[in-house]
Amino acid sequence: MDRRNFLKLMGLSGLAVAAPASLWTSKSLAEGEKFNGPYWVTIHAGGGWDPTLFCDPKGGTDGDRQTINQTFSPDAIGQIGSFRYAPISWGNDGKEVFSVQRFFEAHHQRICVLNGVDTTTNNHDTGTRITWSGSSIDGQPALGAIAAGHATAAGALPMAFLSNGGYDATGGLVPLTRSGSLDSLKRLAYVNRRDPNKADELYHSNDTMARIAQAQSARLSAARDAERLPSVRRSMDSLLKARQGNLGLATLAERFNDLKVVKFDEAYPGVEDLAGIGGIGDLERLCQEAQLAMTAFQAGVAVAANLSIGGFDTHGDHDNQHIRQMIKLLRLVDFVYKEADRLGLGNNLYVVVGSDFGRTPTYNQGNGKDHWNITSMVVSGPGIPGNRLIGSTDPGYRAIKVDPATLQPKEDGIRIEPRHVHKALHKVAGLAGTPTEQQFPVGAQDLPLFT
Amino acid sequence: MSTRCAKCHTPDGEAVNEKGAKLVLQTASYPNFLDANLASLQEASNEKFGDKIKLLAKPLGELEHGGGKILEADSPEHRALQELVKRFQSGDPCPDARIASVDGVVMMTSAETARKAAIDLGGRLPTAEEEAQVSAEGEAGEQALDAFLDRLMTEETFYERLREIYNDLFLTDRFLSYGGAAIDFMDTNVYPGLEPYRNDEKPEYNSPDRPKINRALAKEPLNLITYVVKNNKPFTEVLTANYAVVNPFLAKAYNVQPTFANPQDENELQPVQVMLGSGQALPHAGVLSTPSFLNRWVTSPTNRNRARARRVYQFFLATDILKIAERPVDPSAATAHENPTMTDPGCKMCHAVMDPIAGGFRGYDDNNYESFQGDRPWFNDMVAPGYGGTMLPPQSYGAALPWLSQQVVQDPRFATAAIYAVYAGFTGHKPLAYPTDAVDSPGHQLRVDAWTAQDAFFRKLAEEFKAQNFNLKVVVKGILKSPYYRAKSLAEAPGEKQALFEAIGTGRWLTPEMFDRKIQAVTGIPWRKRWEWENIFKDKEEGKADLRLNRGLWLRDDFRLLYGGMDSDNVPVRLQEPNGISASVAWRMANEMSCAVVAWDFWKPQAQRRLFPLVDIKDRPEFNGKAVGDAQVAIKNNLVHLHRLVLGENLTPDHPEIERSFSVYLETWRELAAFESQQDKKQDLHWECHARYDYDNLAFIPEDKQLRKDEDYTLRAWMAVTTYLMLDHRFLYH
Repeated sequence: MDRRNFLKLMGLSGLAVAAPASLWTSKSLAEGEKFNGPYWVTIHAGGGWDPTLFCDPKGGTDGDRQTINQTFSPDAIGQIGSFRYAPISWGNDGKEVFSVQRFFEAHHQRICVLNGVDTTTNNHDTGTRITWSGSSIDGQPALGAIAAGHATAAGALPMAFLSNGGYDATGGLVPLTRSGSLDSLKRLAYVNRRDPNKADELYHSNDTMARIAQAQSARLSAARDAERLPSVRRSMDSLLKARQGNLGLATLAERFNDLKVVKFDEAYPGVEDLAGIGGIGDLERLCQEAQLAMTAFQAGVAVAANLSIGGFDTHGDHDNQHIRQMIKLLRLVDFVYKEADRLGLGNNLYVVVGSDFGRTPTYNQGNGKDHWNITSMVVSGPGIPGNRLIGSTDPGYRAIKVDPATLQPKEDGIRIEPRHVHKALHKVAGLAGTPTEQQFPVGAQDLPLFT
Repeated sequence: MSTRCAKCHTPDGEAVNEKGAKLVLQTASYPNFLDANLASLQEASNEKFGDKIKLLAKPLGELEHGGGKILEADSPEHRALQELVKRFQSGDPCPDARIASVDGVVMMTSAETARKAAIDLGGRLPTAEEEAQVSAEGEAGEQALDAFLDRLMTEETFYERLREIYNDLFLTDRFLSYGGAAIDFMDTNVYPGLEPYRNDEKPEYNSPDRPKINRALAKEPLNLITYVVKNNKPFTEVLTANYAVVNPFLAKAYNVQPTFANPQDENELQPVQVMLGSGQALPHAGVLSTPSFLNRWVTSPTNRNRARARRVYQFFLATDILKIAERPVDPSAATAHENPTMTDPGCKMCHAVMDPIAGGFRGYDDNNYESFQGDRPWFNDMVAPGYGGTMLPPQSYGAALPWLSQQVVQDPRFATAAIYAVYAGFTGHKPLAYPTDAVDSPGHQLRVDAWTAQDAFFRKLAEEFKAQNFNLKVVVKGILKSPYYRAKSLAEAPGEKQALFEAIGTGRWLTPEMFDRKIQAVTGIPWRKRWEWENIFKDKEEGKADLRLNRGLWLRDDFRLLYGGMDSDNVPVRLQEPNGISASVAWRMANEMSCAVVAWDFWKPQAQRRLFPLVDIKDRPEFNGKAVGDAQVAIKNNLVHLHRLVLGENLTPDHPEIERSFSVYLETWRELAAFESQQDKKQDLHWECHARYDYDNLAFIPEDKQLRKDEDYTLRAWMAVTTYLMLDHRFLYH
């Protein structure tokens, strides 16, 4: 959207004003710029997923709790491109929701899989933090926060970092935003419209709105300058910053006019086959969150979105419970890719999928699996080679060390850890060395993961 | 010691974990870690080998110290250790300890504190009489404030607030997600009273009681806290109560028949003994044995209640057990251990702490979480149930949870946990963490001083809490009267001392629930969907008993998460600062509320007005381009009133901020009045902004009595000012 169209939208929203270009001095949007990417979607499998049911399959014997996978034998493991995959699927009401095979068939050309990643922990909180920030330090910002912080360093965006769960520490780089219904967001995009759908029914005239905003800004700035208590001063800074970021909502709201919310029982591209299947309400909700995030990307008002699906901490009845969640997760990732392609964002979107850690190579007495520090990560995006497999595990599901130069197995090599993945992601996405990244540098050796 | 000795002597350190060293040093994440470490060192200082004190000899590499030589004999560190031992022996450990303080803080007056507390605890403003009392100078004002706080803590909103604070921890409100979310997890064999409410073929299933029973089940842990605090019982009873607390609806679920003054009052609470379907009396253990708590914090056949143990530590012992194991571990290398949780050092460092507490939940089913059977066996392949080195006695096997609760409340950390919860609830900030950055990093000593001052405050408060028989109101009052709640400024700019004052004063972005109450306290009405107002008026006209006044509140429904709130489920954490979206929520609120209340307030007789008692609707600020003196005086006087009402500011009519507000008023009025000479004079108020609802009496205003016109352009000028003030930092923050 160019500056002229943006200002037109401002006018439609009832937020445009005569004198200043914005009400709360929104720097980036006042210049008519939207954020053009790259965008980030990080997807967290909450509780510790089992990659042996996905991208690092081992196989085993049904009924033998000492084998890694009871659901399938080693000879049933499939291969697509560079990837060996677990032959599992899940469905309900007699219909298949998805399968690992379908996932790899559809997306293997764009993804890079890292197996044998060592989170160095079996602690949920620590593992989640390490996976999504690359560090065990409390409060270290999530990957999405780093990306959003960098993108908004020059000017705020209203939904720069969206999250309804997962690891979403911001390190103060960017305000965290929850997502909501389209109707609610439309009300917020047009705060001066009595009816959000009627552009000419305003509470105050545009001049009055501008007057109120200018007076408020002046009062807040004066109070901020006079304030001596650090906590109160900081809160005033937060409010000033938040107000800089609320104007672009109108841009987003315009998208809503033509938006059809994804619902499985109504025709929607990419999910037609899910109609009439019970027990997937959580998947539908997550697809809606993903849809909103990508609509916000398209409108240029968001940079990164966290999606989180729980239910992976399967200490009991592992295969039944875990396969169901794994399939839902992969179907969510599938939707993200398809929706991104449909909106023309596919080549400008980073997707990272990971979890707290992995799960043990054997089953416990309750046929569950407990915590295990070895896991996998899946990444894709601009500059990341697709159909690429990095790292591996041995038959006991232990990480095999790699040569840091060639990434080939090497006995005295190193284990790949999430911090290495973050380091490489920062580099490939142009975040490395930026002032934002330098506030929270990732302490890790450079590995040629994506070169 | 924090760098040299703690390398190996932390609970998970090599010396303790693998060599069985007696000297155990807690890390800074352990509450009261300084006390614990001092006690451990003092005990170690009594250990001798021959005439050598082990604590002094071992760091020099003597007496077969596993860590070898880590200090030189005449080093400053060893001399400091000698001094410490000397002080232990003299019984005067800290004769010259520096008392950290945060001098220079300007506190709110008693009247200002009363206003803040009234909104916070009571969802209201002080009455004129109360304000006069707390406005007294000096000690009289403070005494009046004490009495006022005591009064607030008898009001129902205080208990609503307390439930919010503890739900931020327990997250049991997850079971309010729909009207049967709690009922649906209950096993009717265990609780037969619920059978008709789970069976959709029974009339009770569709009765109005069902959602109330669900609410009562979900709220049971929070209602127990309410009951304990309201009746000035020791807060220890939240864990040790050998009774359940039921309202008339939970009584139906539990098949008990206590006497209620009002069988329809969901807030009336009575203690009862619950009998299970098996005929066994449930061994109550406060909140821990409530079905809501047990189903919110579940276990599994292999988890064996360890997740619950973690929550016991978190909620009642101020300890984040996951912090114990933040060092890198490699379970994938631990397969050599047959039972890793008991023998692998990487596992047992947590499990030795966690598993005994987990054993307190002995008797509760692993899959049917609220089901209790006293003779269920426990596991032999995990650390035995107990507490702090004391084993669960065999006679308590059938009632382990009450035994565990009794142990927990005797731990000093129990009081700390209660103080932490109340502190975070009322200030919006977590207690300061002990600084773990390098001692020579900039501001480190100031951060230590800030922590020390806060820690000293907490300790003193804990002593008072215990001395007052664990009455939680003592803690609430202590925090509300402290600089952490009352600081409003500093006498001097902090300069380089900024770190010292980081935790002082609140500057807190209000939670949606607090903001909702504040809007009502100031304007007289909550921010509600217009159509829901109309439904309430219609229900009242029809004589319905339950008007459901909690319906349609924007900040509790559509905007709850967007404003930074949480839902106890998918979004369990509140945002601490605003973003572009929440800033827009505030603006929408300010526009809608000014539209709703301005004409309505002017519709009332002047003496009864809340917002505009000092000005007339006809008070035009100018006539023919010239100032109308009397009108402008009235307008400015009313602005002074508004600044006080909305923002709690006491300003004079000539104050620059009143001038700024007046400018908003005057320029808006001029913009509108310019239409008077035109064909369309624009004197009609927007339909939504008519005075058509009598909110005080929850009734429609007859059409011929409604205020629909703004013939003097003053109403919309006041709307602009009202929007302006309701967007203010002082209104949005607390």
